Amino acid sequence: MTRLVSGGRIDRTRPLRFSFDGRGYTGFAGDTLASALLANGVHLVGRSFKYHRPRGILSAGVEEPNALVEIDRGAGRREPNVRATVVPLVEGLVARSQNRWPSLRFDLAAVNGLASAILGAGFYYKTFLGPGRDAWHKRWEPLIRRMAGLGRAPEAPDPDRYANRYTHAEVLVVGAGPAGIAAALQAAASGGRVMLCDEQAEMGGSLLAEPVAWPQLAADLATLRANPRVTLLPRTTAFSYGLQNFVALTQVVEAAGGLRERLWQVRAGRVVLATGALERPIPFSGNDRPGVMLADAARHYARRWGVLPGRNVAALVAHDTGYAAAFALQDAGAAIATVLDMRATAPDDLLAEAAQRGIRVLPGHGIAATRGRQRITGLLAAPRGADGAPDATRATPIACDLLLMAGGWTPSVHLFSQARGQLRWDAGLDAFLPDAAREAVTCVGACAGEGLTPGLPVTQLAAGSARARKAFVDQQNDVTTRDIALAVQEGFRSIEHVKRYTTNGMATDQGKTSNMLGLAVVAGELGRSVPEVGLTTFRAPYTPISFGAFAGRHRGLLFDPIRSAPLHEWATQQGAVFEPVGQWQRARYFPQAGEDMHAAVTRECLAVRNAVGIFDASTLGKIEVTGPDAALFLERCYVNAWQKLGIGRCRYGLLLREDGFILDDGVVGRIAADRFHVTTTTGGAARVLHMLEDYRQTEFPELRVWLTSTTEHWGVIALQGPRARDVLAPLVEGLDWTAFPHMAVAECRVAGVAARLFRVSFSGELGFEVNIPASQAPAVWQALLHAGAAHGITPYGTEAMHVLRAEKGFIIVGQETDGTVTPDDAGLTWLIGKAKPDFIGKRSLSRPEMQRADRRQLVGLVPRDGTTLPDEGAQLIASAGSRVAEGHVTSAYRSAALGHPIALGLLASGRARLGETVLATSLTGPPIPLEVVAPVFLDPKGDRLRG
Amino acid sequence: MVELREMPPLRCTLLQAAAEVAATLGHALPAPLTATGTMLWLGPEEWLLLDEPGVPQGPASLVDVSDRYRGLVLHGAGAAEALNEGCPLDLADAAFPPSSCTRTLFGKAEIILWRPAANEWRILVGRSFAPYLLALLREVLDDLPPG
Repeated sequence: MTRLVSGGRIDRTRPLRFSFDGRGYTGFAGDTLASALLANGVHLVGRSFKYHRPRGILSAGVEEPNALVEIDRGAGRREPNVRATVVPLVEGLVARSQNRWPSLRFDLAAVNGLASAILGAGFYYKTFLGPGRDAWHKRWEPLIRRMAGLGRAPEAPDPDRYANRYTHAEVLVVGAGPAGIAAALQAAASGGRVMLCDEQAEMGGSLLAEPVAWPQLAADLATLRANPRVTLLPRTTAFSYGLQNFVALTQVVEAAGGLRERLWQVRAGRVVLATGALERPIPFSGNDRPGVMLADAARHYARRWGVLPGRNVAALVAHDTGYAAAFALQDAGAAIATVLDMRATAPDDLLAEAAQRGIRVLPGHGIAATRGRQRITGLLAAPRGADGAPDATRATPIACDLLLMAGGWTPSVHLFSQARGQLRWDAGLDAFLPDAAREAVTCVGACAGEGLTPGLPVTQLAAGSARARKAFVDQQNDVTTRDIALAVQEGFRSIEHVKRYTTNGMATDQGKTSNMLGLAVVAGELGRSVPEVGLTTFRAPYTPISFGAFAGRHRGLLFDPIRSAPLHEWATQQGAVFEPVGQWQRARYFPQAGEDMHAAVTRECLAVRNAVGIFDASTLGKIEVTGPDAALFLERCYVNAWQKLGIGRCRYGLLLREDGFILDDGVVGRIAADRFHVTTTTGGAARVLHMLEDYRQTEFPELRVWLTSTTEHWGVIALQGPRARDVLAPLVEGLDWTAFPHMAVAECRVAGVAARLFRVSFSGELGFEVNIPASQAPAVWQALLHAGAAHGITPYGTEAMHVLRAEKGFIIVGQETDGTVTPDDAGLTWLIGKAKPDFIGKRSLSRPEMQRADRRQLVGLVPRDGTTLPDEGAQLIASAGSRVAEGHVTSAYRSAALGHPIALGLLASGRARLGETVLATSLTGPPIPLEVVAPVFLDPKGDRLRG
Repeated sequence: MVELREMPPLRCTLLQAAAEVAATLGHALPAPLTATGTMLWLGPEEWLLLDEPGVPQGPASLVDVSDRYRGLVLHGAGAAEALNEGCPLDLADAAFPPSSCTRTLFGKAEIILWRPAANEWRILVGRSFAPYLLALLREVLDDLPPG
């Protein structure tokens, strides 16, 4: 055991059992998985991504590139690639190592290590583009897919819930270290709403490694906690900084009821970033061995968690803080083998203290190599040559079981940079620091460079490392100094290109420990300074975010609103099969026992043709257009003439876009001189309302006209068929049937309910649409069903509706039209009010291109063999083997009324080609010969609907 | 503890008119982004009337939209937090005091949000969106911390 007998913030009275790779261990409340593993002497925790090299715990925080494990909380709760350094230990935690086979200690894929010379920078690009292209698909890709990849994605659905919270705060403080806590206290005193978030379970940041500061820390947190206007959010990472101080946080909740995480979307008056700084690792040969650790992380393990990560410690330092770490470990009981200071000289006071502590310091030294397979056992210390590389010929072996790296500090400017803040290179501190801000944001503490001292410049830290073997820069993506040097050698100059070519900094840790080093290596190879090379872009998220947090509650049935019409419940009880139409669920057909879709649709169609059908048309869009200028407004928008439409009459309206193409259609009824009942397609309801409202407000503000959406107010029941009037008439009060022809509308009562009754037909039969308030629709529907029983009334769905209208050649916007169809293309020129001076799209229709005779025009299509149904969407060609599409099939159905399949299509010069044969391509067989016919298959004169 | 219940069926009329014409209906017009007991401001020259409309003196649009909405009431101290699960507005007292009323979103549904009293929030939602909104709100309320 390497757990200290006392000290730290763990609770030794609360032991917690956990397992790693099936073996049981014990830690304490307050541990992270990483500190508990170290306390049990476990350093080897994973295998690297590309080379399967043994890896340990590098850090004590979110920057961890190596210690990625799988946490298994049961079915659907298996989470891969979790950083052991940020997982609070809980009783029964099950963790497993990743990327190893058959076992962590003996991994066959580590043979890759031998191939590492091949798998260098750009390996994938070269293999993919080079002559080995076939080999890529057949050999390399399957092999690499098996060997590489981190973790296993869970297969079962995640049973946990994820929440969202929008919130506003006068001040949002990110990071609860000393600077963040001070900022929060100050902000709280000014009275506004304050949020303080920190990614760790315990707030305090660097103070958690300073026992003398703990009483004050506790007092400060208590002060904040007692303030009702302060929200403290531990385990909460600010991962994205958007425009106007819109910051996204993700909080791990893990509530007992199943709420796992919450996404906070915060709009803050002011943001204070106190995100601290991250320690830089140092590139040298074998710097990735388990037991090589960031110096300050080791200090935290000792001070905060009471764990001694090694008993015989060596340190490679390029910054004064490395000494503090070495001293702290010595105080905790470790022997300090040697401190290798990469700098030529170290400060006198540190040298004096080291001497007093009996610690040997070797200035001007680096590391030529490390030893040890699954944990470091020693290193070769060597004086640095003129180019900065350690001189291996003068190396001295030193035994150790822990090697500290103190490479200096990189302020965490990620969020500031995401906020479009400018960074400036501070040569003194050897770091990029926040400069001009674009948002109301302040940076405090180490992320602003406050309290940091200079160490060895990062370029000198990397100097000579490009010649080292296996000096890792990005430990998560297995990128070495040599890979980066190779990229530069091969001509990559931009840091963005080097990043993509080598994948340096592109792993899930987003290069927290590797970006600056990679930059320094590139700068060294190019002979430029770090600011000349420049930074790669900081992108959200700062740390990996679960898909659950993004999805929130929008999954399963709540993924998107499922809109149901007033008769949905009835249709469900009848066993209807539904289809989605936009967000609506509409009954597609009503199968009876033993019926498939074709049988049900055939029965429903014939019922409408021969008796009467009843259909829920409530999803149709409806807009009430009112005001003294209502007719004039419609006149200016729709292609039709409206001013002379009589009260109580209807007209089929067509609406174009400015470009002259059909946008929407629907019947419009004139209820009063100043009141129109406009219908739209189901899918076009919102689009049409928005467009008309836009024109009303911006183009025609002088008109006294108003628009009101009544889509949801009216339930609509369509009765279609030769017996429709027989069913309806006994239930209607207050209607003069003698003055109610086809395309009429009247206000009356149906089954005792105030209604707007339309006589319209979308089937070609005598038809009515009963509009009643939506809440009354089920009762009226029942009354009509009851009254219709003697007439053979049959409920029908959208599929039969489609067939019936196609038999009549009625178009469906979005099926016969696709945004490139003009009124003439659709055969609807007759709708256009010829005398009108203008309407939306009129000018576009006069363009020569819109008037060409060879435009694709709506036609009917009938299979020559009388039986074969073409596919909707099939291309129309003139002869077998032709590669020239002359149009396509827009709708195709089996027509029971006609006894053969019918189709509608758009065909070049279609109306001039009646009687010709065209071919419809087929995915499954030879092209299907079709006769071009007029698009109205049934009752072209319309006698039936006037019956 | 937040209580969620459905309102009884509504009687409502959408009124659109110039303010001086709207004023002739005999109701005190609510200020922008607020509601009186019987009239909700929805936009410039647009109000929702919750009782019988009178006869306007001048050009105006009155449309019965009683069945367009279903009404929900949220009651209790944590209601604002629950609403902020899906509504991006600042619902604190200073920003959205009692009598405030606005059109906004909850999740993916458009709603009218009206706060008649400090602890009472009313939502009008398009009838066909009501099942979605209710299911979403119920899940939110289930996850509110007790107390």
